[in-house]
Amino acid sequence: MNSQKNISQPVIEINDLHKSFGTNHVLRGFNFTLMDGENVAVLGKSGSGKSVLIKCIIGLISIDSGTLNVLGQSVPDLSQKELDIIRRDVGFLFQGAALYDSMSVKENLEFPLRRHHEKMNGGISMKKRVEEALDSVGLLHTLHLMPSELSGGMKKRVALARTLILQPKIILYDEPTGGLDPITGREISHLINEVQSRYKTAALIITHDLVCAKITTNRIVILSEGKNYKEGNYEELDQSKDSIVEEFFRK
Amino acid sequence: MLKGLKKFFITTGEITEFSIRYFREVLFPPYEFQELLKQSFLIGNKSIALVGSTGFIMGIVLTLQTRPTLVEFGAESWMPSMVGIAIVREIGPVITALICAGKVGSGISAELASMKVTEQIDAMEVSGTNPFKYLVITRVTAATIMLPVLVILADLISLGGSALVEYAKGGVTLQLYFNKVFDYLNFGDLIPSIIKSFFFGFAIAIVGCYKGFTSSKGTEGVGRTANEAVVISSMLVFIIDFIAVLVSDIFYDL
Repeated sequence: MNSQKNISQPVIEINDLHKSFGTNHVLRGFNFTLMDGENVAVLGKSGSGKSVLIKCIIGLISIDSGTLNVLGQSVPDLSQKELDIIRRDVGFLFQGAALYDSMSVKENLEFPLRRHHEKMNGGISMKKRVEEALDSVGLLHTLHLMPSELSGGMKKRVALARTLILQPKIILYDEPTGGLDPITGREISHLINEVQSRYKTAALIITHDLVCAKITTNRIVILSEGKNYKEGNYEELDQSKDSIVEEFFRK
Repeated sequence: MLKGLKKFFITTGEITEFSIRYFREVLFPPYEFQELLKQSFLIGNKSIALVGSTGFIMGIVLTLQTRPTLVEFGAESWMPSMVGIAIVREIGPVITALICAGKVGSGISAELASMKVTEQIDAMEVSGTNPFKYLVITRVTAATIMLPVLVILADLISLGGSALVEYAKGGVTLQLYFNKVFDYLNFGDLIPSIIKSFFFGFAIAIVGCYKGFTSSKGTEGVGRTANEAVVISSMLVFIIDFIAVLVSDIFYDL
C-alpha cells in the first residue's frame, strides 16, 4: 500500500450530501473528508452513486442539500468563473478517458494549457510541458498519434497525462481500471501511486476494483445506499465480519 | 397525438432557448477564432464537391426538362432568364440547404452526441472551457457564414450546367447565355436569396448542436439524434423559405 507523508489539512470536505434524480435518491447524507496528500478510494456497487459523487465535487452536477467544500471553497456557491478557477487545481480522470477524438495526443494535452495561461509560468514551453507529462506516464512516443490509434490502457495513461499537465492539487479518478485487463489495471494502479509520490497530489479514487483500491489507497470508504457505510484501511475492511463489507471483499 | 404535440412544443421551446443562449454568448469573449476557422473549413470546403456536383446536375436537369415546353411555345430564348431566376431565387438556396441539412446538420449532431456519450463535453468543462462557446458558437457561426458562400457557388455551377445544355441543344454561346441571365437578374432576386441562406445555415447548425448537446440514451441515441436533426432542420429550411418569400414579396414586389 502507498505510504503517505505530509497529510495535513482537508482538501475536500463533504457533510450530509443529498442528491436525487426524480424519485431516485442517489446520495442520502454522504459525509467525507480527503486530507492533503492522501489517497482515498470510494468503493460501491454499480449504480450506487460513486460517479455522481465525484461529478458533484467537480461541479458538473449540482447538489440538492448538504455542504461540499473543495480547497476551502463551497462548490455549490461558486459562480461559473470561480468554479473554472478551482477546476485548475482539481484534475479529473474520466472512466472512458474522454480524450478529444478530433485532436492528436499532443493537442489533447495542449488543450487545457491553452485555457490556463497562468499555469504556464516558470518559463517552460508548452511543448516541454506536454512532453514532460507524457513522459511521466511512459507514452512520449504517442505524441502525434490520434486517440483512435491507442489501446484502452494507453488512452487512460494519456488522459492521466492531460490531467497532470495543469499540476493539480487533487485528482479525482472515476473507475481508473474499469474496462481494462487485470495486468493493465495493475499498471494503472501503480502509475497512480507514482503520480501521487511525484506530484504530491491528493486523490479520490472511485472504483469497485479491490486490487486497485489495495494498491493505491490509504483509506477506503464503502458507499452503500447513498451513505458512507464503513471506512478503514484495506486490512481492516478485509477482516471485517460485516455482511455488506464481506460482499465487497468476496468472502 | 397529444403526447406528440407536447413533445413538439417542448422541442420548439428548447431550440428557441438554445438560440437565445447563442446570441447571448456569441458577443462576449473568449472568442474561439481558431476553432471557428477550422469549422468554416470543414463545413465549407468539405461540402464543395457535393454541393457543386448537385448544382451542376440540377442545372442540366432543369434545362433539359423545361426546354421542350419552351420550344413548343417558341420561347426558348427565355430559357436563360427563366432558369437563372429559378436557380438564384429558389432552387439554389433550398437544394444547397437541404444537402447541408443532411451532411452538415447530421455531422454536427452525431459528433456532439458522441462527445457527450464519451464524456468529452464534461472533460472540456472540467478543463475550464465553456463547451457551448467552443462547440456550439463556432459551429453555428461557421455554418451561418459558409452556407451563403455555398449557395453562390451552387448557383454559378448550376447555371454553368444549364449553359452547357443550351450550347449543346440550341447552339447558345456561354457568353450569350450568361449575358441573358444577368440581364434579367437584379438585386431583388439575389439579396433575399443570400439573406435567407444565412438563416438556413443558422437553423441547420443550431438544430444539429441542440440535438447533439441534449442527446441521451448512449450510443443508440447518437444515430437517432443525427436522424432527428436532419428531419427538423429540413422542415425548418422549408418554413424559413416560406417566410422569406412572404417577406421578400413585401420589399421587392416579386
